[in-house]
Amino acid sequence: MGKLCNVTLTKGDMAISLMGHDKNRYYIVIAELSDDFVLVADGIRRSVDDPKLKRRKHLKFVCKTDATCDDISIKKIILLEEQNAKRR
Amino acid sequence: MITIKNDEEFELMRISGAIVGKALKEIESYIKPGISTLELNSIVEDIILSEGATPSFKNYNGFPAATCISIDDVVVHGIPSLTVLKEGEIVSIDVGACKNGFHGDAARTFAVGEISAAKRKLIEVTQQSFFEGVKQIKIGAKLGDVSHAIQAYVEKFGYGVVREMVGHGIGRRLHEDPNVPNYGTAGIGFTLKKGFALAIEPMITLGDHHVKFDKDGWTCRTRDGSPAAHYENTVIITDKDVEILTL
Repeated sequence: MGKLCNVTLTKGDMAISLMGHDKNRYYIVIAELSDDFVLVADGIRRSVDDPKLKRRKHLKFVCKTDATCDDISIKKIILLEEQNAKRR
Repeated sequence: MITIKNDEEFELMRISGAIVGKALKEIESYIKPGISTLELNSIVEDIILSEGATPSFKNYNGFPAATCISIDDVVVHGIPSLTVLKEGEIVSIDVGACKNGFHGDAARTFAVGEISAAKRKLIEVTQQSFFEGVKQIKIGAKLGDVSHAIQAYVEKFGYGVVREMVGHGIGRRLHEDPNVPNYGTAGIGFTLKKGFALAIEPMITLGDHHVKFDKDGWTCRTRDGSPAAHYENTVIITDKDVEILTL
């Protein structure tokens, strides 16, 4: 059974929320604040101008993306992932 | 911390390894279009239990089944379900068994019926890359030598080496130190010593190496939807040579 490497969330990574009222929602990391916190946006409910502060431990790495730090790019990637997830 | 095993412990690991090897050999004959991954899981689980062992994966960090069964674009950690195998797919089966307190871990990718030449080549290259890595194992060599050999061999064919998932040490626990990546630089990393037990497992994609995880938190699939193959064995380093326990 393959072992998951310790993936440290970095800018541009897609992550899924594990805790809070936004559980199971996808986000893109737009900034790393500290060893504990990152800023995330989904381009829909949380824009780049009003990002959400999340603890790293409350997020799970999904994949690396080429999202640039703008709402249109982030929204496009998040919606695509949500559609794919529904299809699965 | 890397645990060094003694000869008695290796003897117990040989027993677990043999059970895993047997399960993988027996399951091959059941791989055909129309069988569900849940049925394959039950067959493997029965084999493991009949040998007086327990499935290592069941309930491991919450994993719900005895095997990981991954079809086509799923690289690893596919959860067995009612999904049936279809002609032309490739399916990776990852099996772990624990007996006398020691684990064995191995995986193979099988063809379902007739598959394309590209998929067949992917399976062959993935299998051979494992042996290219094993050739580098000797007392005093570096772990990076093994990783580099796998990566260099695979990338010659233009395939992708998954970065997020790695091989691992194995013994009393399924996942022990050190991590064994399938990519890296020769000459760096841990020095290989007598008493090491490693699960070496190239996870290779036909396209880009990036992967993503499904909402279930387990299923790891290629980002670009390209098929992926997986080949794994438990390997031990004795004072004489390298021994593969799960063939």
